[in-house]
Amino acid sequence: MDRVEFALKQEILHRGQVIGFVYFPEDCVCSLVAKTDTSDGIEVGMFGAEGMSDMVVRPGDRTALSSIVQVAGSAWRIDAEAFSELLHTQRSLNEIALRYKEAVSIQFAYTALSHGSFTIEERLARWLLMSQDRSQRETIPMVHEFLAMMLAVRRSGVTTATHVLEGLGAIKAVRGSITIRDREKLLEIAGESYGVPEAEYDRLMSY
Amino acid sequence: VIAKYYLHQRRSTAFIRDLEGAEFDSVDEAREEVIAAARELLSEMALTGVLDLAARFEIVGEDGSWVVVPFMEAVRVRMDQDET
Repeated sequence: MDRVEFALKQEILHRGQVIGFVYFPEDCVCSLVAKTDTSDGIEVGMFGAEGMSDMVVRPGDRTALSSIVQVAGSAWRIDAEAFSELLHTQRSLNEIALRYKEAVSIQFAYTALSHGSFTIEERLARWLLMSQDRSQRETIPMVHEFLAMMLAVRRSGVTTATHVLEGLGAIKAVRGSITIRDREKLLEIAGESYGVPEAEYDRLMSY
Repeated sequence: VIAKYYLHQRRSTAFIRDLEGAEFDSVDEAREEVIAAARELLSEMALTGVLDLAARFEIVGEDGSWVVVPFMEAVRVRMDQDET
């Protein structure tokens, strides 16, 4: 295994690419983005130190999603073939990977639910909570353009939602970053879009 | 010439400042963006039950240009059954 540094917006895995490495973030946070050749795509999930990038089950596996760095930082990586061999020989690794995949599928389900049934403000609140969970930071360096891609809205939609959350005292936005001022308030705004995948993760990953 | 434009929104109850801005080839391209954005924002407003039809975009260029685009320019409103 070796350690790598990632910059904001770096695409560590590109949709359709054969997976060369499996990444385990240390303090970086990545977004999993589903996209087509003609669209910017939409975020379907995220992972940080609590998780890992797309794994290889069989050598030569390709990723269906793009992984893009949303909070810069470091990660550990392991060669994909070595990982897939360990997955078959180490029962404990196999089990934890399986549990994590189940937790991620629940996260994906709730992201789909929030994209379909929640307002931009609610989705932004959820996104900020999830980013804070993974980065352990109160101030998240973020440009609206990137956030617009994550939430699949135009940039002006992010500007508006940010204004609303700021008006409620939940966050403070300056150019290039968002600071979480009142997590309780964000939880209230995110409502049921946040919480279930997090509780399921805790349940699945505890022994 | 690529220039940065700030897409501020003047709503009837608030001024929403675009802190970051975005680059466009021309002010016409920025105008196309706010037309598309106004449609999206009006859709979101409609879902809340309150449509702010007085809302407008104020496109402010780094070069000092200033263009106002009312949200209403982004939509056609039919009030009459016979209207085509």
